[in-house]
Amino acid sequence: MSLSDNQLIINAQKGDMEAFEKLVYKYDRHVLNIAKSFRNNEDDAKDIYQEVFIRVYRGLKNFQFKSEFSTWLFRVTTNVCISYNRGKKQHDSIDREIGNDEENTTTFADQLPGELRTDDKAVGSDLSTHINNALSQLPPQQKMAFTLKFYQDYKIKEIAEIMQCNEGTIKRYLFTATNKMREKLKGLR
Amino acid sequence: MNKEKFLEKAQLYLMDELNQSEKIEFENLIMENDELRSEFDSVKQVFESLTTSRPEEVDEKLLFSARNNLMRSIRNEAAKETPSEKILKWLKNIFVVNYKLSFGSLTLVVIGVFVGYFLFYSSSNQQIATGSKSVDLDNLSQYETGISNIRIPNPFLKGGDIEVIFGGTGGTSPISYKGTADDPIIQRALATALITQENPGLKLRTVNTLASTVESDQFIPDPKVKSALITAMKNDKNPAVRREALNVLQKFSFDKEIRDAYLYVLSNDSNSGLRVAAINALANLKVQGNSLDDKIINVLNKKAESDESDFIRLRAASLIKEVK
Repeated sequence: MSLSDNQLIINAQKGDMEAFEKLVYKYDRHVLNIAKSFRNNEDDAKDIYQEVFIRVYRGLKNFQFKSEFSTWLFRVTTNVCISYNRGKKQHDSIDREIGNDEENTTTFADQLPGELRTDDKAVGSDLSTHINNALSQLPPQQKMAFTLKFYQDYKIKEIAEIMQCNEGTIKRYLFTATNKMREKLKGLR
Repeated sequence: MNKEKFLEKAQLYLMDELNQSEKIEFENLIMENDELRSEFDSVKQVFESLTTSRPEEVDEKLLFSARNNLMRSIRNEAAKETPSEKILKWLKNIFVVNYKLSFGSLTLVVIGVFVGYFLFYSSSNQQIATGSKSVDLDNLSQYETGISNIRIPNPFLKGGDIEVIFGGTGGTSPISYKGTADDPIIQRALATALITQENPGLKLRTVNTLASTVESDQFIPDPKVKSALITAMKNDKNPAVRREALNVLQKFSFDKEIRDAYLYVLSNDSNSGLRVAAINALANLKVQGNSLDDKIINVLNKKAESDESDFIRLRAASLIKEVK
């Protein structure tokens, strides 16, 4: 019979590595999926996965069962994703220049080389790549809300709990992110 | 309803975040107004694009690679706990549980330390003073006096000398040997201790020390060390020792002996964590480019059908599928 999360946590808190491993194996695929869909890069996803579970390992002894383990784990995951910056200085500067600028009206199509700007060629190109590029320009909080909603199918209420915001804030992140994506993808459709 | 409000509603509708009556109200709204319907279609088109661009789920190879790196880091993390931290943690637990018990235990520890110091300090010095390197390596385990003690200063700090003491019981003179973890004599002594000593704490420190030598650049695989690790992995009473032995064996070049040992653990170990570690070790072989032979496939077939652990059944089935 498999043990409940709480029993596994209690055992892990006593130093039982097997219990800790069971907790890891139960949720780690989902953590890796969130990280990969957030960064769109396997190496970054592995770094985030590692950092998340090291933090969980260190923090588990102080876990007080005030929330579900999974909620806490995914909260750690989102925090690590949002604060993950290694080797991403170039993107970060783009975030500052474009992503955080609410008044910015530059579309992604405007940033493409001239020969790609016609509708025909843009439609023929890989839409996913353009969406990922547009996504990478969103500020991290918006991008995380967007990732959890569109790629991981969470409800707004669950995202609010994971990201420790109220539902109104998450809705605002999602509307802003979706509108920006819509603007940036305008020239490509 | 202004445009911004409408767009918010449209997005909530497409995200399936409206209740039933809100949905009906919204559907009526777009049915009655061509301009709003056109705006809605535009938002819907963006949502469809976003849905089709959904990233693929992570594959097994990436997951297992991430797991291996993580477990290595966790072991290093666990090893970072210094002895003083362990004592503090232990004392903290004791104090929380029972003041009287803690006070009594502490007093006994202090008395024990003093008694031990006065009784054994001088004789311990004598043992070191009679140190000799004339130890028959090939007959280490049958050495007439046997290993009576091993002092490992801290298995996770490099540079500290390990001291092995042979004999010293039944009136024989003890022989002390000191060396680093890279010293072949020390390695064989550790391997012998791993299968002959009873103390699980000592065995864990022993296997951890062997692990540190395997990661060293100067590591030369010794068949006797490998054989001791296999014996410990298959037969030791303590699952932590078995687990650590398995981890160290993964650093050795893969051969049939190691394969059979993994299969033995996967087939017979009562601890599901050990079986998981064994099947992961076999999965790693595949990741490293080794083929899984018929003997492995046979055991995997059995495990896919009958192991009591869901994870092992699924993992075995997925490995078989990958091979096919």
